[in-house]
Amino acid sequence: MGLGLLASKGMRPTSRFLLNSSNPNNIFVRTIVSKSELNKPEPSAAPEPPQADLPPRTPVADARVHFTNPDDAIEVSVDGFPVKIPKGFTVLQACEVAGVDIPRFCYHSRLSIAGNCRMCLVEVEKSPKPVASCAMPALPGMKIKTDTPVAKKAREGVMEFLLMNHPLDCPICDQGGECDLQDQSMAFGADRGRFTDMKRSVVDKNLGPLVKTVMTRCIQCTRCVRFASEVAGVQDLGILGRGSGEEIGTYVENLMKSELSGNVIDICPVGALTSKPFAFKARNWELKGTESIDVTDAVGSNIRIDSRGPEVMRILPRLNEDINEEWISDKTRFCYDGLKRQRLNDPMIRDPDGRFKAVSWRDALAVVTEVAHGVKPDEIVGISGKLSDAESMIALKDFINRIGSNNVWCEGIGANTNADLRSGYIMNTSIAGLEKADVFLLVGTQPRVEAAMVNARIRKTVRASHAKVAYIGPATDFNYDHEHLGTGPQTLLEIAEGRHPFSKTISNAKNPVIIVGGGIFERKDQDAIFAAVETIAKQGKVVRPDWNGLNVLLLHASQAAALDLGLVPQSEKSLESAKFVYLMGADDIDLDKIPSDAFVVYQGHHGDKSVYRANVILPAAAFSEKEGTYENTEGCTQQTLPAVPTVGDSRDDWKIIRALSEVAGVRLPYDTVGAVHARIKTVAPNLVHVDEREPATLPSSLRPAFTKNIDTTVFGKAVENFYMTDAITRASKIMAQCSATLLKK
Amino acid sequence: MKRRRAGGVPKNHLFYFSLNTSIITIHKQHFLPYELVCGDSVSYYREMASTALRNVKVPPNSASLEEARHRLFEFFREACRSLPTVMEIYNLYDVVSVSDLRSSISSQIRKNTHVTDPKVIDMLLFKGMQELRNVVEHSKQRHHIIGQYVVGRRAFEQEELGIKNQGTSTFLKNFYDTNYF
Amino acid sequence: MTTVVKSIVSSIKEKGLGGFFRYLKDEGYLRCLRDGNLLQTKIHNIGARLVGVDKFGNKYYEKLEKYQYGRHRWVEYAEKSRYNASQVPAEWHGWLHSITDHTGDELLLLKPKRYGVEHKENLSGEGEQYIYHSKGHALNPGQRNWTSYQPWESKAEP
Repeated sequence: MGLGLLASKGMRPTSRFLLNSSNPNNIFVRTIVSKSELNKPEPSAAPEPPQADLPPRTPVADARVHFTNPDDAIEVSVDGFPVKIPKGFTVLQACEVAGVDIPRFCYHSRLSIAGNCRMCLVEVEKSPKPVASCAMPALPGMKIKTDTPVAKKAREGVMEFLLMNHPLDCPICDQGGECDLQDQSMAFGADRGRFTDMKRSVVDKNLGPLVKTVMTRCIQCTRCVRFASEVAGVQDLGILGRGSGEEIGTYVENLMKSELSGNVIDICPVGALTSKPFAFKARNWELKGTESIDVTDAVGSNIRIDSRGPEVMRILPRLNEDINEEWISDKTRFCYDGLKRQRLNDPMIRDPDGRFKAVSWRDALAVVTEVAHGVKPDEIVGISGKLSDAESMIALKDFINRIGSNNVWCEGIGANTNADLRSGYIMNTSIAGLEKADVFLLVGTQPRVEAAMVNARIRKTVRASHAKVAYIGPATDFNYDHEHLGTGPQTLLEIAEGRHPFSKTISNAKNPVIIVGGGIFERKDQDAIFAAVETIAKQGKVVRPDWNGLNVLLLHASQAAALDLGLVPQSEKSLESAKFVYLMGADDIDLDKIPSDAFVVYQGHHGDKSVYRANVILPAAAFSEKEGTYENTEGCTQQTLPAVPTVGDSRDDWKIIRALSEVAGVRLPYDTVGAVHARIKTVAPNLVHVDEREPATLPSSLRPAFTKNIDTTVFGKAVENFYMTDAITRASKIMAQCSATLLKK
Repeated sequence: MKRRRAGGVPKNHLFYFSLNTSIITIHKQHFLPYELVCGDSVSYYREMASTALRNVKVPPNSASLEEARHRLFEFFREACRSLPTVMEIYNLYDVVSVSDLRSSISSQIRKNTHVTDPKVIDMLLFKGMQELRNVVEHSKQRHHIIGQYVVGRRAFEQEELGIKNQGTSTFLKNFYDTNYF
Repeated sequence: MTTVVKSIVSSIKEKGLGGFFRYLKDEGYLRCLRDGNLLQTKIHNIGARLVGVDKFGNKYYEKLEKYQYGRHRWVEYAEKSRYNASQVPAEWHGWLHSITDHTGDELLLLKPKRYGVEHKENLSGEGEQYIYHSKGHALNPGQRNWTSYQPWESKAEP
């Protein structure tokens, strides 16, 4: 018999008095709680008198109450505090408004209510049992109690059951440190367990190259199942079995083929679904978070770049109700390993034998200047890329203009694109505004691959209000009901002339929305197509003072800012006659169009397509390494912040052009980012109002009149491979894996 | 004389050899004879032994530019003589050659060619000796040497170049150096 | 003494004179003249029990009678010229220091196959190449590259 046991035996008689317990049987019952009053959880009988002089509590996580109809307001009391909430709120929401945080696992504000984790049990007066607050609608005069012995005991019991089959592998679990179960068992759980049997174990599922599963850790909250079927729109995940045989699975061996699958990692409250590329790479408390903007598409999702030292370790979404809510696409989340591969780190000059030699910045700029001075000004062309920020684009435009050329544009924008009217190239409805629409007409755009977050919004609208979606373009995959009207401009023409049944649907709609794909900008007949679209808009009253439903869905992060700054090609033939081409990250232009005797300067951060044609390489910073302004497709200006240092000897984009301009003798008048912003302000003032969406003022009605000389070639697909669209994603191994496994037919 | 020999002189020599390897020549030339010539040296050495570090004295100032110049060359020679040791203890063989290091030292000295005040030269020399002592005694690490005298040499050269392109703006000068300014 | 002479004579007969000298040399008897330590070990060995030989060839002896406790177990190193205590492998260490009575051969059976590493003697002072250098050290032949990104490498025209 150990000494401690002896000691505790000796202690027992005294502990009875010390505990001051009225129940002498207590000492023989092995309790899991430390407080004696928790051992007799009778519903607290007498209602406490409301204490009016207590200070009001702040709502949890800025929970807001929006009364659409003041008559619908009901009053409930939470822990004695009276709270006014609209009808239809659940008990849990009422508690949040009252400033009481209820523990929960299965409840998620953006998903449907399941009510199966039972963690949110609270006591409601005159209710015989504790109620699951997430699933219980609040009724007028309800008296909710969240800190009574009943509620505490209920939580402890639920927690004990949840932990019963949960493995004790927190030290090797990637969720460790940011795990809801860890946190809540610390806050609400018992200090010991009574389970001595074998824990159950579950076979792991293969969900593809992005999501790692450790199904033994799963607590069956079904958040992932609901996310997949409600938000992502894929019916891949489901629940099998009952009781302790219950499992989350894919029914048959099946990968999760969704462009939003990474979000299940975030919503999983435990470590059952974690990030496969991030597995065992870092702990979350080692990481430095930098709030930044995604540049892999034109949505501009708000992200947090988590870095450790000079390395980006992972990318997580940031809440922005107007743009990406709290989701991001897989491309955004997992492209980060592309930032570490194929990087350009030194200025390089191509030798006569075709090999590149690293040189100093001084020499590289001298060579570029020498060549630039040797050609005629109108043979100089500058093209900015998909990932360019506004600062570098204004610098490029100013530089090329000062040399004497006007040939400067952004890739993905064809000749005679109309950049004069802002409403002609941005998403006028705004992404959040799409939720009010009841009819969608998608013209030559596949939002699922072009802008996954916009597609999620459309899907949300379709689910919520059964909005009609019609689509013109090549056959493609949608994850909601839609009507495929046709493949080419011919159908558009029919609707515009009122020969198509769908023109009636538009005119009858309350808030119709037309979304034109950014791929149209590269068509030669874009004016005619836009004219047709505007005719439809005019007939269907799509543009009204209170509703602007005419949208363009851009493709690249830089496009909106480029159009704002006027980076539009002047003529179609300027590239074919160029002698000096300055590519600022432009990798998707047709390299065969550049004459073979032209001198090509490539400024960028990745050794992608264009470096193989370049004569001089100037290394620049990627979006995770610089402060850059980006405008998203709805016209919202946002800024990236440097999360990690630049690699090697690379420099910020605008600084390179500023330095080059001085060496070339046409010194640009700005030395700091602030000065560049001042210059931008004179061209496009909306680009300096960060985090603000500037709606376009003029309705686009100054277009050339509707003509019938439309090219009848069908609309093309703007994005062939969702996972590989730009230099960063093409360099990423994870994205390559995704396109190999998930896009496989 | 007898008392002095019996007293602290040998001990004192030991002390010099162990502590002041780089400035020992100066001490021998200027400081020891001076102390030996005048005053009660025995009591001085006793005090020296007890409060050794407090009483470390710098050599007297150079009287003329000529003398300062002489000392400078003396210092340069000493630095060059220590270079093989430096190469050995910092394992610099595959990084840099002795002649590179030598030119690095000389370029640092040339950086101050405009200084004519013997007092200032003495001060700079003292700093140089300190640095040399730190290097020779392995008070530094390999990356210090590489950073300051191998990679850092390019900065010296660029500064020399800087005289040529005086027309450039501060922006461009900073740009050539680093991305962060 | 007579037994020693007898055994010498018999082994000369067996191996011939040249073979006998080679044997003397290999077993370190010739070094005994210079190395008192070795000589003492050899004298100790007379009449002692050879308990085991490890895989390096070190011989482990024990003699319980007449010897003082603590001096009853010893090792004769396989290496006759430069021997030191670190040449005793882990499995024999316990026996040699009277930590256990299990011999090294018995303990070797308990050695984990999957992650048990080979015994290595301490080679300090035996040359630069034996000194441990950490993975970031300039003298480590496989010095780790700490660059966190992979640069683009220029190739000739694809």
